[in-house]
Amino acid sequence: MNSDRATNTDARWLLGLLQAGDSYYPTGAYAHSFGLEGLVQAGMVRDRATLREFIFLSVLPALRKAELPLAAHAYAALDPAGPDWTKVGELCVLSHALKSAKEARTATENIGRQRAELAATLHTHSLATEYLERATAGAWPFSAAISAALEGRVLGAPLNAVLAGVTYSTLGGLLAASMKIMRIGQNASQSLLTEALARAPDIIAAAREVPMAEIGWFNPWLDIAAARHETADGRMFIS
Amino acid sequence: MDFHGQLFLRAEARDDGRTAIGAQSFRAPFHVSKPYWEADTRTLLVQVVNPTAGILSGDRLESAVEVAPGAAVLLTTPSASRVFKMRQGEASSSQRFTVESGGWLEVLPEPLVPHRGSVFHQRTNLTVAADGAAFYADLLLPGRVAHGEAWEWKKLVLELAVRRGGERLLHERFEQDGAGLRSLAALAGAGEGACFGNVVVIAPGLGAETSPAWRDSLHALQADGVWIGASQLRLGGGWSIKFVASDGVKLKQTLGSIRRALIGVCPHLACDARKL
Repeated sequence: MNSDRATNTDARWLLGLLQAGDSYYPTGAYAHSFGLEGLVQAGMVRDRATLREFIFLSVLPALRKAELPLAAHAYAALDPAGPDWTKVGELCVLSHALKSAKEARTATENIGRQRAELAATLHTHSLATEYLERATAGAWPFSAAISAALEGRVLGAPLNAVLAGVTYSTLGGLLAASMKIMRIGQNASQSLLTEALARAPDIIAAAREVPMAEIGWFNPWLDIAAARHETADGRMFIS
Repeated sequence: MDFHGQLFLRAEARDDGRTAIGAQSFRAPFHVSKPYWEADTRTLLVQVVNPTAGILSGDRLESAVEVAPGAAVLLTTPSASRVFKMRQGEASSSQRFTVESGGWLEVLPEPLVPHRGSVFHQRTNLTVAADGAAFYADLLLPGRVAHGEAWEWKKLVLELAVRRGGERLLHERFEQDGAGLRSLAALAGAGEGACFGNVVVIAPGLGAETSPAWRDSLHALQADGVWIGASQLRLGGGWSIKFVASDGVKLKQTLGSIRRALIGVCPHLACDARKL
């Protein structure tokens, strides 16, 4: 165990990421189930066992092959010493083009916009301000993964910590939603979260190696359920 | 023997309004049958044939199909594309489809059937002019189901990039080993024979309406082992339609129902590919 005292720099980014990952942070993520409600309505996810299968067969692969590589490439492009704005713009468009379901794009647009605006508002940093200016001028779509990379750069956080934050917020948000739409309790939900987070180091390491040309992954049943959720008679979540 | 197959086709509208092949070149394993003009829907049917048994390790297939302004083409294949077992190596296919102003292209191949131990990578680029239109379909069977072989392939990558009027609408990447997709199918209760269909439809009139009646017709097809969902692509430039069926027959029936439901917005879909 490392017993070194945390430096002021460490504490700053660590506390900043904790703040950004907290359910109290107003990103609007609480209003999304990220497709889970549609899968529950379709009967594919019914209980703890099927929710666990969904997380391990779909959520973690999507993190490893899509959202985390997007965040990793955005983090590299948003180097404060010399941002590659052309690449940032391409990644923003790619983040939406990867998602065929409109609700999935709405979710990442709304959360990504809020995260980027909060980064600019709460932390006076030219990188966040310039990102917003360029996004407006270039009509870039917003992305939760890219805004998380921006937050990380603004806070001075290392890449692995940023990717860990994306992993946590994805799994935490999904499992928080699951408790509202399924018969699953807090302890069962936390045990699933713990089991999934144990995979995070390997997933993050693999995601860092994905070239930009190979970003992407989808689960046909999730995309179908998300498409049908748009026209569902009743729904609790936006996505 | 490794194949480096190539296909190039350019369809053009003649002065009398008919579409004809203006330029073509192909090399084995590609072969193009004599095109057929379907007068009722004013669509040229073109059948691309692979006279070999199927796709083998080391094969590299490259195809480019262009539809010139005002031309209309239905491109199809006569039989399933089998990707055979590979002890080593992989096979790849790169497809480029371009639809120019006022053109129409329907890509309606028979299903892809990846056999046990196969590794296959398909890259598809579909580029459509702002006032062009297209219907692209990909069908995937889980393997040689009649032989009791399903989800046994080693790696399958299906990439689909779609641009309309220069804007990137879609960049999908389906990457699965057979075991992964078998597990997802089991979770969905889809069974050993579950088949997957992926359609993209682009047409000028499709962008304006966010809740078209035809989507309700498509969603009503979900029953008896069929899952189906349609969602509008980014920038309102077209629609993605994904579907899963419990067997190959239902998959093709569902695709037929999708085509019929969309005839009102894409009249060329009334063209019957089985006339060849």
